[in-house]
Amino acid sequence: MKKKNVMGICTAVCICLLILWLLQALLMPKYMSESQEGALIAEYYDEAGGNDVIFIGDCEVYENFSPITLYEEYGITSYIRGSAQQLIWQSYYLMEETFKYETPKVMVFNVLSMKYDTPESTGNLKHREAYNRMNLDGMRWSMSKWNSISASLTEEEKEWGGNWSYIFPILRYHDRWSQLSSEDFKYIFKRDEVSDNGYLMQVNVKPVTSEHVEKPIADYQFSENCWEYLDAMKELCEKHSTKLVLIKAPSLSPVWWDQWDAQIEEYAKKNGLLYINFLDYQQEIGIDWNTDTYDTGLHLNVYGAEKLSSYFGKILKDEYDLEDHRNNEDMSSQWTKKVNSYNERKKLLEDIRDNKN
Amino acid sequence: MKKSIVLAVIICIMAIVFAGCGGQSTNTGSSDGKNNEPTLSFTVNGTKVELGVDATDILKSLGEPKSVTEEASCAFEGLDKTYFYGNFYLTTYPNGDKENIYSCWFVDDSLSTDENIYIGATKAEVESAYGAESFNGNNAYVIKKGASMLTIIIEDDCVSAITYDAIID
Repeated sequence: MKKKNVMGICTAVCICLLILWLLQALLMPKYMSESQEGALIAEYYDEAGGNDVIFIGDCEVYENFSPITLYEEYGITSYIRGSAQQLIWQSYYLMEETFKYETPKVMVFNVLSMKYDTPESTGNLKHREAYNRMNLDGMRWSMSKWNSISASLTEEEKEWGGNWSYIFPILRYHDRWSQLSSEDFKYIFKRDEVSDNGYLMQVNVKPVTSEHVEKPIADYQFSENCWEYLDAMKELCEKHSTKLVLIKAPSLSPVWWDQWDAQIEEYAKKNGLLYINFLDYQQEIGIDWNTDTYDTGLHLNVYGAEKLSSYFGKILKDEYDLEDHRNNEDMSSQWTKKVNSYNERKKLLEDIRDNKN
Repeated sequence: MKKSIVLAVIICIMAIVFAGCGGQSTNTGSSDGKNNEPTLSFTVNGTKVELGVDATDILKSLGEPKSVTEEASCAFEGLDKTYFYGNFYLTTYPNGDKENIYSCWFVDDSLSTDENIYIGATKAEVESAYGAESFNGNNAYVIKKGASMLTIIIEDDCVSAITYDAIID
């Protein structure tokens, strides 16, 4: 009788776990038609390996650089590990995780996130929590993910034991049942690729109409916390003999203050790193803010991203003597598929845009 | 008997998961700016501005701005807006169909806080108005009230900037 009861409990627990796992898969946001940024982190794992350049950072990398252009024009293989409002500790742990999958020759880090000292310093905490989800839920389980979660929790998340909800996301999304759509069922087990090697394509055009301004701040010094993570990135790259390149994408907003630029310039000089503030090279790159942005200068659209990638590709090629993989048969057949997929996506999005107009 | 045990365990686990974790909502929208404590307010060009509140009436009262800049935030719908009125900037954040007051900063000495502190006022005047305890030990006086904050930045013993911010939680 007792044996039967134990069997019964075990069976019940197994059924429960299965049901919970299925419910979790159903209830988690899929990021397929809306907020596609949330799908970026998870897409990397299928493409991991064989990249000479990895970009790490916030929207200023996944919207402004096109790995396909880097390949088409220079034969450089690259991937963008970007996500929405990625904070520097998240970038560090993504970098650490990336080295478990591959050792690129160059690691490119966009320095905008140096402005955020803590999760709270980003402003809107409800958005912050949602950004954390987009940054963390897609990572595969590892110590890097665990440490990134620990560093990323807002005070409010800590208060209600939010770290458990990253381990069991159903704790976070259990009340999403009322928002479920057909998309949640369609993509329950398998998602479509929303990016081209981490690049999230935008084809719309919304010109810059006025200067972006921001309120003055009391202290322009980057925090110790951020410097420590930047130091840790530098050391991580040195350990793997990977060159760390610091960049500031040419986005006009958020404002990149001169005081911030000077600090990064000095850091790069002191540590023998290449730092490029692309805001200083807009003319050479050929950016036209009437045609090359989809949101009045915050990000480039695909036409601007291709120009910027073309410009940056030459620097990468000249500085780091990267191999031209277009001559490698295996690599070139793999990348030709990527190029075709990119061109198809571009045409599809342009058709949608033109039909709307 | 076995069936009822299985059913009981399933119901218990489901109840724990779905009922015992009400700490977080999946709503990723902005706060409505409501808070039990009142926020800071100030008067610009004859209009009283409160932080974190619905901007509709305030914007109407302020009249036509000299310029408006719209900015989308990464991954979220809605636009943050920056209104320029010649002697100050006012920003708003989306809150459903409406927009709420997010921040404000003065650009010249034609405006002052309700405690009569303006750009160019001395550090001593600031300290007299807001007290020494609001000094951050570096270069600014930070005054918090409810879900709002006033920052007065000092350079060369004079006020160089005055900014108001809503704290969105």
